[in-house]
Amino acid sequence: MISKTKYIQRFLWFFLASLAFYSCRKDDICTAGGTPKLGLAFYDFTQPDTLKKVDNLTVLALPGVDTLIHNASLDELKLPLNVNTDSCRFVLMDDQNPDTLQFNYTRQRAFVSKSCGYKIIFHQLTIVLQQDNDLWIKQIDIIKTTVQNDTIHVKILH
Amino acid sequence: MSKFFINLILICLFGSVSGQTTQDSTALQTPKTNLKLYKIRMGFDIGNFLWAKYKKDSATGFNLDANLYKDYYFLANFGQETHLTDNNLLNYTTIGRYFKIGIGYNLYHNWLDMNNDIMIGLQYAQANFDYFLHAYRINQPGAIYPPQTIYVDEKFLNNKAKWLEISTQIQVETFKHLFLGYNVAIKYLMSTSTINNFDISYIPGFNDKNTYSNFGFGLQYFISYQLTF
Repeated sequence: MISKTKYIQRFLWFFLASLAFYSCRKDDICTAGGTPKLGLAFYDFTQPDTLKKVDNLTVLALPGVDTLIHNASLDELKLPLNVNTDSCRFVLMDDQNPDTLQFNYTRQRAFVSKSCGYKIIFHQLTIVLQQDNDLWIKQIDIIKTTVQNDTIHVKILH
Repeated sequence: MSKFFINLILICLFGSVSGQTTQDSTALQTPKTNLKLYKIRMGFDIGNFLWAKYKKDSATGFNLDANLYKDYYFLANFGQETHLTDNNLLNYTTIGRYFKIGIGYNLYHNWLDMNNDIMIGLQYAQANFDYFLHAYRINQPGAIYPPQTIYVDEKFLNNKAKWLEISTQIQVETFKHLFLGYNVAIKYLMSTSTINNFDISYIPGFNDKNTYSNFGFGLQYFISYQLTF
């Protein structure tokens, strides 16, 4: 028969080992992500199914005029919408030709997790293109009016 | 507060000194095999109480153990906690109560009139708690319009959690009938209630619930008094 001290030793070793495994678990840091960005894709106006790059794209956020992208050649764009208000404006410049887009939406607060907190899901997305004499954006098609994950929501023809 | 610490230090000092002398004078004697039956002890969780005080929270926990039969003990814990969580995105308070009941088994047999024990325990625990959300900030990676802190007063009441605890516990008699001890526990969360647009995170008596795991860990330093002689 094994003595009692042996039992104690065995149990305590087992307990210590399980403590070691406990410390191997994943830390509670946010990996699930937060508020999704609005995805824009640029298509050719003459052939609406082919992507077409904007050769010299600069993106500014109004009203603070923060430069988001400067002189890049892109066919896809991700915009972080304003989570504090129900609308926001961005200026998309092709070369030196600025076109202003106003995004209107409603906001829904959704809980992600303790470490990720709350995110916003945008509903009923509408876009107003401010008219000027020389628009390089020809047409705007909203594919998805609900922004709840990072995909393409809007098609811009130019 | 300082008075308490001085007392605690004195207890530790004299406790160890008196323990030493008994051991010296009684060395090489035959071990005492039968424990005193129907020993009942009542304890207070001093470690978490002070830690919570330091963090401006509150935690009051009591534990009770009763020697039922040979080396088997009935274990019970109960208490209440108020705990503030502030992690930059969320700021909320947890207020709740818990109880734990279970069986303990003493592995340690004393020499002569010493009265210490090393116990392993299995306990079932249940908590009932409320969350009070004070403020939040929307999580938006790459934001150009920085999310504002929004102050709210939202309540998520009557949440429940059930879990199991495996623990080891050591109790040492310092003064006559006065024990100092600690308890290390691994906890497994069995079930919780669900909340709409919020989640179970902090649980009184369990501590923080990890998003990815149902296991928890707990440490208690307690001071207990033997009620029966």
